[in-house]
Amino acid sequence: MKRNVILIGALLLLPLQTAFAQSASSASSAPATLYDRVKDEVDNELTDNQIEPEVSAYVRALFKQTENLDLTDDDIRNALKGTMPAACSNIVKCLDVVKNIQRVVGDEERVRELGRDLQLNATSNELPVSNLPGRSLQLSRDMQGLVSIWSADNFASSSSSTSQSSSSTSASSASSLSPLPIRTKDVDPQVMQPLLQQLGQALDDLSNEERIAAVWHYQYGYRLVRGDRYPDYPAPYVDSASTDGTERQYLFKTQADVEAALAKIWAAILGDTFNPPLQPNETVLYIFPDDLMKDTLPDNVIVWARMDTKGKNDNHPLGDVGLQWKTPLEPVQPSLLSDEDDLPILGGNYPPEPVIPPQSTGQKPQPLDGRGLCTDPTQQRGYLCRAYVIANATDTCPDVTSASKPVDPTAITLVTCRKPSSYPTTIAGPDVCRDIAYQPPQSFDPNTQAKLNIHCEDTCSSNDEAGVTKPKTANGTIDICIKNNPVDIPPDYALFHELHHAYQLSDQKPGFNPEKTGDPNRDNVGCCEVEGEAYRAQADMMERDGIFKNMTPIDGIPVNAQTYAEAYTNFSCGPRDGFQGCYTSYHYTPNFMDALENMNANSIHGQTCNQIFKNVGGQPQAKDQRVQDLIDVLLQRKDVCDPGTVDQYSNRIGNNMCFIGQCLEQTLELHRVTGAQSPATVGDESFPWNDPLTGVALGNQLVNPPLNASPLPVYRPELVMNQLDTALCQLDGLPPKTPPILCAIQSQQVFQYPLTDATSMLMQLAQNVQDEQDANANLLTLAPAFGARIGTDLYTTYLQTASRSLSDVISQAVKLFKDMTSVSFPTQMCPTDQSLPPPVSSQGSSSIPSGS
Amino acid sequence: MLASCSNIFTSPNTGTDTQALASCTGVGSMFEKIPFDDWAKDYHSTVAQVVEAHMDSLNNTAKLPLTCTAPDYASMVRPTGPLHDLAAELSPWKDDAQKLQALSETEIGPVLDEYLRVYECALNERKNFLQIRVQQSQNGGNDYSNSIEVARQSAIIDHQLALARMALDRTLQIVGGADRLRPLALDIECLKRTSLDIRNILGLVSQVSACLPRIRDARGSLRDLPDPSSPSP
Repeated sequence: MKRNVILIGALLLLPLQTAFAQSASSASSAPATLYDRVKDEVDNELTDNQIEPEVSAYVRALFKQTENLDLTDDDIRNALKGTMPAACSNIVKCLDVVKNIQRVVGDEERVRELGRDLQLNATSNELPVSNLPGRSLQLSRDMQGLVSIWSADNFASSSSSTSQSSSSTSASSASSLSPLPIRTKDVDPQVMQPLLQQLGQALDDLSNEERIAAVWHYQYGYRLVRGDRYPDYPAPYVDSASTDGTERQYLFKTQADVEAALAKIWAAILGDTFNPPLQPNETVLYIFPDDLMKDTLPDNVIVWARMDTKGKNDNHPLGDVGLQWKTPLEPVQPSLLSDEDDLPILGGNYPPEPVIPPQSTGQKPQPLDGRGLCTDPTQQRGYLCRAYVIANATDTCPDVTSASKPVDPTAITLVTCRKPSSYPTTIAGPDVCRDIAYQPPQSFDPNTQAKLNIHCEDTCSSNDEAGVTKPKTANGTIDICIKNNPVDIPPDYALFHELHHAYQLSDQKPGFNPEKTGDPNRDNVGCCEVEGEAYRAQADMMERDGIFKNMTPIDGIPVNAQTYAEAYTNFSCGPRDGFQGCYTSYHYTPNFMDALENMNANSIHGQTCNQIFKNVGGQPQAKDQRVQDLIDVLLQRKDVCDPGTVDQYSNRIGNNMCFIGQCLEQTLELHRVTGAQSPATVGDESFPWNDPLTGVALGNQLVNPPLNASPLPVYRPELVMNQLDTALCQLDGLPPKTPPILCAIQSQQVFQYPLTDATSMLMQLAQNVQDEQDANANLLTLAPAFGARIGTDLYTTYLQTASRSLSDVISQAVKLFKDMTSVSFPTQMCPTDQSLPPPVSSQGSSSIPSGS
Repeated sequence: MLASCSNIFTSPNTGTDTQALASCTGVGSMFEKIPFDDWAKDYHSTVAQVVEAHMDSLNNTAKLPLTCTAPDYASMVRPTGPLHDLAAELSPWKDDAQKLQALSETEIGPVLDEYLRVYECALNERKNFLQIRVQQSQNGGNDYSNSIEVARQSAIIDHQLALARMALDRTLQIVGGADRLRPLALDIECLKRTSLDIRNILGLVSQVSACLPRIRDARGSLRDLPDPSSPSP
């Protein structure tokens, strides 16, 4: 019974460490299918004259030690059938020997059967959620595969080119999917075949008992066992009471040949390179062909290998090579013979409490028995491997995000509350994925990107202009000078104007100046284009700020955004700067120009250059969000859709959507009326995201919708136990009681029945015991099924809720794609610049350009 | 003399007949045509094949021919070859072509249980008529050899009657553990396949969108933009 308790304790304490193995003694003769393995086990249990070799050896050693009898296996088999052993001379003593053999064998076999039964329950429930290749069902990996397909990031398991000249974005089979951040890679069978052969031989050379223990010993990797992954993952705790001569002697035993074989596999994959290179914490899980493992390893044994980056400690914290069972069927049974001297082990004690290092050391918890599970990059995300954030019971909304309670990203927080201000915000319009690094990081290219150098000066040019933008320097810097106290225009608008010039130059090569191409005609057109864009944007901003409100016409010309932009564009590209002027709708008189210069427009942020900036985290930022947005766009500008550009990103839904979004934006931004504005057609509003009533650019701030959190399924163990108690009591026909032992059959209730005769009463008393045994047997049958269904229900509840949101998204996506088929594109292009009327210098018409 | 096990299972919800079991007899069963000594081997290898094919199908969800638009779970997965072949030999499916046509891999439990029942019925019947059956198979024979053969076969039958059910129950416990989560796994697989379609469509759209700058270029027609650094024509 003591050994029985030890086994149960071991299974409960080490649900993942102790497990099952094949029952056959050698790999070559072992059954090849799951059913055959189970059948052989049952066969061994049922056959009276069959006895497990370990039990037989134990009985022989035991009777040698206690009775000084040299028994053979045949003697023991015969004793089980009631035949006295030949070595036994005294008939009276022999009868006792036979009885004792039957009792000892029966006891030991019962313990071993119990171990198998318990582990069978664990296997049937845990195997489906295992993630090792080759096992049945891989739900977690499949879910991660889904995330991998949908996510927008640059963890690259596959890449695609989306340049205009190539078309490598293509469909791929489901089998090529890999979970995030885990890739998979097929091993080279030619390289691995001899290594697995050696591993299989090392395992075959072990006894059945040692082989079973060895597979479980190395289930989380030989490097973990050896401490090679320290300090990220220290070696498992080995208690001092599990040495040779104890029942747990094989649990932690080092098998040198097996370790050496696993080390060779590790060495074979250590030099592998990956394209793209592995990210920190990203791992590669190697796939060994099933046939290769069947041919080389003992039956039901599989090998796994995982590679990662070197890590900060240069120790490959997540990389390892280990063993596992294809279908766990047998636990590490309590040892019956000492590995040291082959003496029988007559019993044992519970192992001592594992030692957990103090939390103050800041170390991760030691991988205690079973905690090796948490050294797996996927499994460590599960409930068993993450701490719970325990909130104050009186605090219904614990503020776990406060500075005093730093957030542990690995912890599970059951209840959190977020303030509205804590929602992430992003800027609508430009650069849809600016806050997502969906492309691999690339170095700064001065030919296509730009840095800004904005500074305030008393004077920026000899013409006393409010602002000046210089061409890009060789290192990609665009210099913007803003006059400290501009007279004719507030510095906000001047900076916004100059930023548009910077935007025009930002994707051009250093030194490019559209107004100095060497061709006077092109220079004039270029000046009109770039100044026109900048003045139209500036005028639009001023109009929305109400600068032109209540302005009266001057010389019959209305003062509004259009006339302001036209007049100043024409002036800036006029004789003063050596140009011939631009197309205008009106003939702007000197009187009109003087009036514009003396408008005395006021800025809401300040009249001096320094006043329009604020200090955010030590960095100056424009107070006006529109200005700051444009600065941000400029600094992160990358025109992914420029002709000939080759863009690389992982072929995922999110990444593709980012690319499409950026192409759309780039299209609208580069070929628009005004820089950084996104009218899709001529008649569209320039800033569709602005507040239409006030014109305030608050609409530039987009609040992301909150994440649709997947609720954790309710787990109420006390209720579950009560239900089980109720079930037990119902079996006995009684109301629920706790503990359920109170529902046991009351023997004295027989006396409450009318007395018929003594025989009937005795029969009823005897039947009482049977009734109770039946109820207990039923409970034993019921409990695993009960527990399995509760566990499955928890899993199902969570995953179905989580997948429902995804189903909704997919439904919408399908609708969108169907709608795309009904889109009709215009057959006529917008008119080009050449179709516009030529610039006029005389009293002009009042016509408005039909397109630009 | 034999108690007939013929029965009709009636669905409590619909009241329609769902299963029609054959009589509990070895006569007419699939075991009648093979020698007794091959019964156990035949039975266990058949069960092993069905179970192995089922486990293989669990391992290879990505390669399963799924009907993701099926109205219910059972219709999503077609039976594996060994399961279909076995069901085609058993009365509830053999006698009902429509039911065999609609057989699903989810019915592995009922099919194997029915196969076990047929096996046990055949064993029980042989045990009840063992003397006669042995004499028939021995073409008379002498009493001594017949009694030895009866004892041998009786031991086999008893062992098989104890072994077959327990082995199948334990196997189905493991299979059932995996099967309980299988509907989820298939749902996820269908979501994954749909997601892959969407991803591939988006991949095509992204390639098309790379042309947008030229399509919407108001300053020129559909041609490459001139290189700003090149000399003007």
